[in-house]
Amino acid sequence: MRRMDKRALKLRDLVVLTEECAPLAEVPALDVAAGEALGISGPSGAGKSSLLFALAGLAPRMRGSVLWGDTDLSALGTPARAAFRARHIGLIFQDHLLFEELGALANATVVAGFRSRSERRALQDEAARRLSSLSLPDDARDVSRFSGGERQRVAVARALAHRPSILLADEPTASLDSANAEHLTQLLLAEAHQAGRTLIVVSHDPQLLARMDRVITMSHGVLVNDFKGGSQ
Amino acid sequence: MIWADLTPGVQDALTLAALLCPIAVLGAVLLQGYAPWPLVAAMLRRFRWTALIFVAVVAGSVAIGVGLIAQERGLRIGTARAADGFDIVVTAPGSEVTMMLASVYLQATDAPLLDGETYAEIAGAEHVALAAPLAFGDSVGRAPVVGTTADLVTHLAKGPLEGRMFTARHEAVVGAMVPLRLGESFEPAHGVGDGADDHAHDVDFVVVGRMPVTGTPWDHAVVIPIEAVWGVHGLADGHDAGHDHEDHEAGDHDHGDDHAAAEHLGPPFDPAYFPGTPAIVVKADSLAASYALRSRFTRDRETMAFFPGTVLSQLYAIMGDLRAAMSVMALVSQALVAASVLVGLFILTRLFARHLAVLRALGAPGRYLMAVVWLFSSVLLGAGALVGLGGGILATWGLSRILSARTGIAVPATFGWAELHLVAGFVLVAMVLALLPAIAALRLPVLARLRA
Repeated sequence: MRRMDKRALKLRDLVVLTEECAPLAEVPALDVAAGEALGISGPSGAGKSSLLFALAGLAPRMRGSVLWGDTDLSALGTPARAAFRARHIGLIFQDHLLFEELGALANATVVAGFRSRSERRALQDEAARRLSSLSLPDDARDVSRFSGGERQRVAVARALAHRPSILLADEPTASLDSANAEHLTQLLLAEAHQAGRTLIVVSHDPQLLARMDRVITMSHGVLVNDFKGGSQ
Repeated sequence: MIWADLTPGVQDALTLAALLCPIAVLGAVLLQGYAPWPLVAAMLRRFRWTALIFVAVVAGSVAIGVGLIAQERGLRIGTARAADGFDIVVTAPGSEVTMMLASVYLQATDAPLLDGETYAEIAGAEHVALAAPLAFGDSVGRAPVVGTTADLVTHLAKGPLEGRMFTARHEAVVGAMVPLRLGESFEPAHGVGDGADDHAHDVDFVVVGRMPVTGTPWDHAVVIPIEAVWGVHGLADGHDAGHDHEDHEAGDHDHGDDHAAAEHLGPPFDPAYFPGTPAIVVKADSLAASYALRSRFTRDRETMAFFPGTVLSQLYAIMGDLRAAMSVMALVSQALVAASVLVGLFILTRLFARHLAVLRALGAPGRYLMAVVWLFSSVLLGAGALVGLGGGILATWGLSRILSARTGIAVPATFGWAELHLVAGFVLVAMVLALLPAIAALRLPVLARLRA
């Protein structure tokens, strides 16, 4: 596949910790296949988001290993983790986290600022293509004037503009109405099933979770259920 | 060595380059390969009011620094120029500074007088091109009245008069800024300022000429023949009456009669009829002669000769220490401003802590985050410095006009390398300091900001 395949995830003895070393999530073992769509469910405060951010190398502290292909994020320093994210991971946040002062295209290409000139070009093209396929106006308007659905679609375009092999989403439908939530769900699943990206979504949304290939449930920081099924 | 062989202009230019170069290197190292401009521009737009206030604060402090330096130099140049026409001043022994202030800057003072013998000796000395006695003490409105000779007026004016030179006792030549028109008459008051006695002299003078602008306090002076000053004070007029076909009675002022014959004004004066002068302005025909004349007329208990330029440089030497103290103060205040700028930058960085966290989550390298923060700060600092430089120049120009009006000394509004060096140094220090919030931005907890 593309470059070196980093899509398959292997967690071993993973303990995600706070800055003060209190455990947030513990996962003795978890394997996710390349291109699989995995949902993470569970009550609030169960450690779902902490686990997701640990998968992106954003946990302040962790023990054990987070292997994407042959790369162990837990063994890397902050700069190398950032470089790995820049290369392989697309992130979607619950409240979009867009740059309010920028327009849709500028938001979708905000990572262009730290990429090489040749990459910038490709990124611009891909982001523009994404935005138009998401039927978003590519005008100079600040995204602060956009609706919630439009904003989340801009966030998706941003997460995908660099063609990552892994897509991580934290409560992506939480701030959307049901129509927009459904639209987004289809979009994310298409990335897994058609583009072959590994998709891991933390969610409370039963509609979304039901469409996933597989759903794991967390409670009090530990994995309590691993359910295969969903849309396949 | 090699540095000393360079012209001052080249040295100054190199100093400026040396101050700006590290900024360019710093920028190049931070920004190499990145394109943070669109993001920084958008952030500047979004936080424009905060940014504007920040720029205004920086500009204000830079303007004050620039203004101080330029003004100090302007004042120095201006006072030195005002003394240009006065090669040597000979007075009775006393304070050189007081007598310089009296003769060059027309700050009236009571001084012992030199007698006619002394004047004749000086005027007759070899290599003396000009020896003009001065007489002070009267005023017209706020303008001091100075009695002297036509030769000194010509010497100081350095150019043609508007109108003509005084040729009679009741005629006056005014400085460029004196609010009297040609042909207007006036009655001088005895004394200067609030204590002046308006009707002590029942004498009328008429303005016949105006000097061009000299940039000296003499621009504000009314100059009359010294014979007239002596005359209105009831003194002898420096000339033997028998040769003059006229009387010199004080208070008898029927000028119509005086016009009949050309009056004898100016040197040579008859020592027997010379009432005395507090100061004689002497011009020698060569520089070497100036020194010779100065030592010749520096005599204990009789005369004191000095170069106003030298007295000024002694004053500057004292003021130089003040200047050093002021420079330290200026530096300290700039440092304080730099410190508050730093605090401001930390606060500004907080404004977009979330932006930075998102960028980090999206994989931005640390150097990119630093580049964004530093560029943002640098744009504000650079803009503030430029606006401040402009503001400082404007302020200098304005202050020079005010000072010129107040002191009567033309204070030039100059713009020099020192100001550029100050601004470049400030920008360099501030931009290096701006690295601190940029580095701090790297240490912000990413996750906490993302989930806030």
